[in-house]
Amino acid sequence: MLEVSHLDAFYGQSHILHAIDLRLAAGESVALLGRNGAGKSTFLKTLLNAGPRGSGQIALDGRPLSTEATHVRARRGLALVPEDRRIFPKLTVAQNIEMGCHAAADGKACYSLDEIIALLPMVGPLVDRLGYQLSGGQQQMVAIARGIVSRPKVLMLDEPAEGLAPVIVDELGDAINRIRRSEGMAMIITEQNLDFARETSDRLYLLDVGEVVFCGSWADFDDRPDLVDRYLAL
Amino acid sequence: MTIARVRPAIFFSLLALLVAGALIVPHVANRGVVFLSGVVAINVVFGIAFNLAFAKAGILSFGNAMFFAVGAYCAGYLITQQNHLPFVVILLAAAGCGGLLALVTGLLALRRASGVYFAVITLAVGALVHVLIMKLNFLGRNDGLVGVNRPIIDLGLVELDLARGDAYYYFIIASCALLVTLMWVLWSNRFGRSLQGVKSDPMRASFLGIDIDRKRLIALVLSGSITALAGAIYAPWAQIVTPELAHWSFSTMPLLFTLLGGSAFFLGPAVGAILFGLLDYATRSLIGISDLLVGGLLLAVVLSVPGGVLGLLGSLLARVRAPSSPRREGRA
Repeated sequence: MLEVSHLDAFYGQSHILHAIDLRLAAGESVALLGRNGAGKSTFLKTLLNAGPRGSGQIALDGRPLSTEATHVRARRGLALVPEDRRIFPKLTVAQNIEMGCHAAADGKACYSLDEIIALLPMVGPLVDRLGYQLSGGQQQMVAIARGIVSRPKVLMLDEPAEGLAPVIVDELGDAINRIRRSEGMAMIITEQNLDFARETSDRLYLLDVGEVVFCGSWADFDDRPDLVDRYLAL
Repeated sequence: MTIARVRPAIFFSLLALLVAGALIVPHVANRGVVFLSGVVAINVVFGIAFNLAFAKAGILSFGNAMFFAVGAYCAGYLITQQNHLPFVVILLAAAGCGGLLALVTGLLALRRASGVYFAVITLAVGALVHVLIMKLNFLGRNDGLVGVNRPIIDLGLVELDLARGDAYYYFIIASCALLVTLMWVLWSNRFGRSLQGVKSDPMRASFLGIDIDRKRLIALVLSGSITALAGAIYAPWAQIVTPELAHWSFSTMPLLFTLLGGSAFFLGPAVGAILFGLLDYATRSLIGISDLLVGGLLLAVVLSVPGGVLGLLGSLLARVRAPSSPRREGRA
């Protein structure tokens, strides 16, 4: 479904990502792990052409994306929930979610608000609140709702559990798995929380200084305890 | 700057109040005040159309006078030279010309520049339009177009003679109320919210599939078309169209109305235009120092109340409410 080949990314003269290859099948969820600065967020932004200058091949369902503008990539089915959530503070939650429908420009029907609430029950009581009136966990749920409302093919979540209370992280994990199971949406999840990543993904890629140093199943990863010490430990 | 939400009930109540106030004017005031009141109504549209692009889409234009002038000249020319055309067709033609000029300006400048750089380009295009108007014979060069008569609207069974009595004044009030309502719909609906997204976080908006260049262009074209319509309505009211309408200094008017009333509020430019009209009228007899007085007062308000008069009223209201009631969500 999503094929990324030899993807390089640059901020100005700085070479951030080095020949990244990644494959994602329909309905599959992969975790992207690595320390701060490993290039996880840069990878997601490069897929959407949103900041870094990228080179290499990106194809979704066999159609190349590499030369498309950000909004076209979003309309083709890539949705990003960024680390800072970027909720519009002066719009209500319902209006924030509705904004995500702009990505459904090719005639695909968006989820209704009721369908969104069925997938993310925590959003239900919030629909009339303004963006600035939400807690971090509530913002994360609304950002995910806004990300999925256009029924994207690939949902990319950038450190979704960061800064959230453990009970909210549990709810978030349940919500992500509910979306995976019932909607068959493919996902790329960047995380530093190993337990959360394990709970919400089928396999993983490990990044270090802009390069993929490991890719495989969680079982393969567990067979290599050195990886945690070398690439994830502080 | 944050954009205030406008609830329908509050908007329509305020609009009804403004329209009622305007309809009373011919019964209680002299001809000069009626004329000024008509100009204020047109300025309300001029100001809100500017703010639709400025506050919602973040497009600062110093060239809105050119849209107004193009509308006024289009209507003036067609009324004086093609007087068989129905007035509605003339208004649509004027809106089309304003929209086309905005489209060309936007295509030329929006992708290349933003903020103050875009504003400077619109200033330059506006100056070019001003010079062109003064050079074209069929637009009357420096003299402009005179004898722009108030039209007769043929409704089939009935003819509406807008030249008779205060008929054209009532036409101005009705058409301006309609245009203000149209802009309120644009301000409040999904399109308006997407513009707000484009302005507050363009990167986030493009993540969500919004073509930010296209949205900004549409906002500018809408603003240009509606401003040109205001110009077209103005031409038969003044019965003369002169190149001063395209001068850069006239472009400061909608900006002034907006800053005076409060750019975060939909009706901010309307309040600004009304206050400006009142100030202008109150100082009309102070020959020589009238402009200085008006300018000084406006400068004082803009510097001391950055959120405009409505912003000041909003914060005073919040202070009064604060001790007795919990914080309310949003503003009207």
